[in-house]
Amino acid sequence: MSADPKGTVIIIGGHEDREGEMLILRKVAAHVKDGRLVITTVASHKPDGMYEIYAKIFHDFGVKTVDLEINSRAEAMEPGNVDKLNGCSAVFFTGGDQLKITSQIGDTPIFSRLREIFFTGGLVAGTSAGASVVCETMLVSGPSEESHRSSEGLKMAPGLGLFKDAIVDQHFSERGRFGRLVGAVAHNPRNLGVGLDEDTAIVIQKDKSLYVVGSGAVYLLDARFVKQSNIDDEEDNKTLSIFNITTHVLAQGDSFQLSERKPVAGSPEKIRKGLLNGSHRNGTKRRAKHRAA
Amino acid sequence: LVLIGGNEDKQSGKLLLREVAERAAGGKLVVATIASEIPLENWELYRDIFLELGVQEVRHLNITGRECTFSPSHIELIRGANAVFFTGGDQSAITSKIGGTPLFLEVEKLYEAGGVVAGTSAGAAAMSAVMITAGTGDEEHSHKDAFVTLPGLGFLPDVMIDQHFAQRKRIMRLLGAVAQNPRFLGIGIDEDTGIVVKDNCFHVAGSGSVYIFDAGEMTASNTADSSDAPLSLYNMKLHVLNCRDQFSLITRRPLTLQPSRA
Repeated sequence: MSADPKGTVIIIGGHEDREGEMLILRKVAAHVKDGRLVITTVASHKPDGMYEIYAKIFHDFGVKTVDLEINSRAEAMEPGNVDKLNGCSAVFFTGGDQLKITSQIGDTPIFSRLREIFFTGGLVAGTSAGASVVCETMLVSGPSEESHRSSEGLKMAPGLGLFKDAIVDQHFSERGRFGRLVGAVAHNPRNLGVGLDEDTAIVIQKDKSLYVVGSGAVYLLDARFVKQSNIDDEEDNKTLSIFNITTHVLAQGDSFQLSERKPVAGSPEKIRKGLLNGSHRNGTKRRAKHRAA
Repeated sequence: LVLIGGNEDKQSGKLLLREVAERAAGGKLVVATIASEIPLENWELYRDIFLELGVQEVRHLNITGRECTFSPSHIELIRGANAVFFTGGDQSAITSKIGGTPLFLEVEKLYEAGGVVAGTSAGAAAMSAVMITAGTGDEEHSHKDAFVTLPGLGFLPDVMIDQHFAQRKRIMRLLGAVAQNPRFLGIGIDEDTGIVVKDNCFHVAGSGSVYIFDAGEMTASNTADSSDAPLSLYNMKLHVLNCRDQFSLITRRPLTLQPSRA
């Protein structure tokens, strides 16, 4: 199988709007296309009711859903659960603990099927913990609302590997996570730091570009031009020092070229109108038109 | 100029207050509690610390209304001092009460003669030419109306200071304020952290980080848009400094004081 991603990733900084215009969940629905959407609560400690909340919203958007509740690694191996992914074109991870996702489904048949869906043009989406998990190396936990110190418990772990060369943090300005994302990026400046506010999402297409949907901001930290940092100092409790990080703040309508790491402006209102006018069938229409031409 | 991000250590090493005390040394230090809602408590707290740190004479400047700033006794208090320390509270209380008064001219004279002007929290925020204060929007959701900028005391030109930076999650409001006019350098100071400014250069002191946002190469921002959209801006340069670093306000370049590996 080709290593080039053919699918789409939509990741949300948590607390996406589920009552108002629901632009982000509309966007997810728009990418489900003709198959079904698997909603998995594998990240959750108490999944009770979580599936039902999302299922109702997606049903209203005309999307068929499947409930995939996994509470252990054994459950991720059960053929009955694996079969649930048959005929599905999209997977949505609800919030919780990102380590529960990777430790329970990593290298299981469920994960193979997930990759299959993704690499054949499907969608993988997630909110909160479900957003962090799509990276090659995911940020698990770390102190917030304080100065970043290199020795203080920034925890990272191998993720699902669907969004390369990036590290994602969520609930970003709401939980004061700026310092820890700078710290995470400093560990390996090859990775683009991505901080997602709540009710804010990025749509990543084929690893080439991303664009923003939602009411908050997306902070991008590009550390390629950093010439000096103290991240590898052996001294304990060292407060972070790092020079020359390029910072972009993107809002709905803005997009970003991942290969050149270049932001591009767009229209926030166009995205909103497109989503409210039920353009989740847009993809189908466009394809039909293309065929006609 | 010694500017502190608030909540500085008052129990153990007192590193930042020591920076102020050492500069006041054998002279007179005036504690100005203009920003505070509890001026007497603040005064007693800082008086004891500064006396303990070896400042010879510590006096209280208690300004309750703008009319006090015209009183000769208050002006006399500043005259002959070699340091003024502004406590925390509300920065607009400082500027609205002393801005443009004879008392303020006296503080300026002290500074020009080589004296120390210092402040913590609101007392630091008020020092720049333009200061940031709370607005009406949701500060935690990257909202453009989350802050307002007001004219400050002007000791530090071309700079905007925000304090309690990491602790109060103020990244957006400093970025947004700098985007309004990229001529200004944004300086975010964490709690128990300060900058000591001399001759257009500063060094960092204390336990936390100082964040510098330089919009000199910023390529776009939606600051002037009337919509209530969240902030959007491209290509802001960021430096994160610790107590080994210094920064030139002229070249806008950071440098490390000592080799970081001991």
